[in-house]
Amino acid sequence: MRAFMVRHQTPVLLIIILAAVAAISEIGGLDNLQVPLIEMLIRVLVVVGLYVFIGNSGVISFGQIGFMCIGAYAAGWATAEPGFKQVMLQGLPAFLAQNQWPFPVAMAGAIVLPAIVALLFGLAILRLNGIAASIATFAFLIIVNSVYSNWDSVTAGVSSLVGIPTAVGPWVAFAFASAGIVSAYLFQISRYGLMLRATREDSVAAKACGVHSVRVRLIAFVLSAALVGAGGGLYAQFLGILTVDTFYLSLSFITIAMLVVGGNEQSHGSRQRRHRGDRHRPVAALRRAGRDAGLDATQVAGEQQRTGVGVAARAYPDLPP
Amino acid sequence: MIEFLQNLIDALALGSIYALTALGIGLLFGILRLINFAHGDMITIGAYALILPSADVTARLLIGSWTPAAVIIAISMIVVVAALITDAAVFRPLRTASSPTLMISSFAVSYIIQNGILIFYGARPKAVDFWSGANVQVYIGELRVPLLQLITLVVTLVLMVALTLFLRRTPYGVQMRAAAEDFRMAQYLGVRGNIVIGLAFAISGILAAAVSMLYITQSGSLTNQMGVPLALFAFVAVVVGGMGNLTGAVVGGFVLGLIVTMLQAYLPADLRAFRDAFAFGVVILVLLIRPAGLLPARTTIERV
Repeated sequence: MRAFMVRHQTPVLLIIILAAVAAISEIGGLDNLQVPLIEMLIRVLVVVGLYVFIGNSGVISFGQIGFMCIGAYAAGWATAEPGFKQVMLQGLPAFLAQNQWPFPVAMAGAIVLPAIVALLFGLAILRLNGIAASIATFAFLIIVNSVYSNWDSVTAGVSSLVGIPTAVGPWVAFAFASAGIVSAYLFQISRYGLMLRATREDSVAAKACGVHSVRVRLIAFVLSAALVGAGGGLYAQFLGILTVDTFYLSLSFITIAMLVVGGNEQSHGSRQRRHRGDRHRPVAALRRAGRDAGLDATQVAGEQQRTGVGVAARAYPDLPP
Repeated sequence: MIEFLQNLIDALALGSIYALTALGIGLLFGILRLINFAHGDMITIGAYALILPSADVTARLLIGSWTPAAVIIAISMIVVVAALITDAAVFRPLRTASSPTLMISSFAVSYIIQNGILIFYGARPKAVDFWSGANVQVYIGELRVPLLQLITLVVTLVLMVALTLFLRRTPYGVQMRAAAEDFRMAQYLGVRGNIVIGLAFAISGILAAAVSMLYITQSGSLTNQMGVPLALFAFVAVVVGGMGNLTGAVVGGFVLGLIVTMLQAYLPADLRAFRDAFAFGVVILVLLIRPAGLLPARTTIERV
């Protein structure tokens, strides 16, 4: 048992920290802390999802927030009031429009639908490298935003999707964030994770060793989309209301900033340092998400919160991981 | 036919705006490998510099009410200074940082500028009446062309020719091209890195100032995020055209302008709302067919 704990200390420690965070929100008298803490746990899940693809593959993807949008709307379609859906969302298929599905079904939808989209889209674009791949994912984000904000009969367009039961409390968010960390960790230490990081370090050498870079990237992309989509599903059932523009550029940038400032860095320093960096990256991402939500908690208005992160990003651009 | 020509001129005018913005982004990418998202906010700064700082809905012109020559010089100076400040304060300490770090820093600069504007000018969009005389229509045969579009085209051409002459004929231009091709080698040969980079920031500032004046004359409204979509489209244009290659940036800008305008004109009415989805679908297709862009630069070809 002890050897197991030592060997896998990173995810174990992270989960203990998250449990502490969830427990804090249960303490009486801190009611107005609960909302930012739940949001923080959801953001942890999203940033860990980003890490699975961006951190391991080294390809910056702006598009993962598009999967969050897809996941959130999938959950919203499943659980919103049937009365609302039949009036506002007449394009929905009958099995969604006439029923109100329970939380597990909604979450399954929020995980599976983004994963399927990621599989199809990833098959097309993951053979691109570097900046071209980033732009393709960026284009994906814009396409998702454009479709979801104009497909009125299914997404209610730019008006909001309302009447989603708010089923997410701190422990539900904690459970999903922990599951996200465990699956990200399991992927990272699996042979596919190793092969993917090999393509990040040196794609030609990895290819020479027989690594099929498109395939391993696709696995990470789909897993990442599933985790980010789950984050979206939680978010929908945490707020109870959805608008498309939540899931757009500023969320994409801010989550990538959390990841990079937290320590997505890879290209300088010795190999030794890289290894050390690897282990602590999720910790740093978590720290970042925490700091951001912390600013939330002190009731700083949203815009100023971003300035805060901006200043932090400027002040610690090269924070050692 | 007339309708098609009309759309073509719209596409050229929109493409010029994208091309000018893409030039500013491409110039810095070539030398610094910096994807400067804050370039859009330089455009915003140029536009806000025209008016008095206040939270009123209708903006009162300050610099904007001077004579055109004075306006152009003053706005260019302000944006150039702003660009040089971002270089000195943010990007200079990060010279050795990796590309993602630089990009995130430029997001940070972008947020700081946007929210700084929010503090001084308020959050509401502002209407501004700036050089609205340029919005008259001119007839060329049967073709009805807004004067502003002609001005935009001419300004773009002039700036592109001037930039080309600068890069080809002057010692500093040659140094910039050398730095874009291989920064370290250029430094070994005596090119002073900070001067070349500062110059690149200054030129990108002038380009941003030109875009801000053209754009504000056309749109007549100010918001603190007005530069963001321009920078994003321009960034996509740079990649589609071919990273690290200024001709590519210009071609990319015009191609993107053409795609967007033609989709707007010829998509069936009920699909028109999805214009951006189609436009970026085309962008993905272009990238899949030519991953290095339409005109790939020699230096960005991957070598083993």
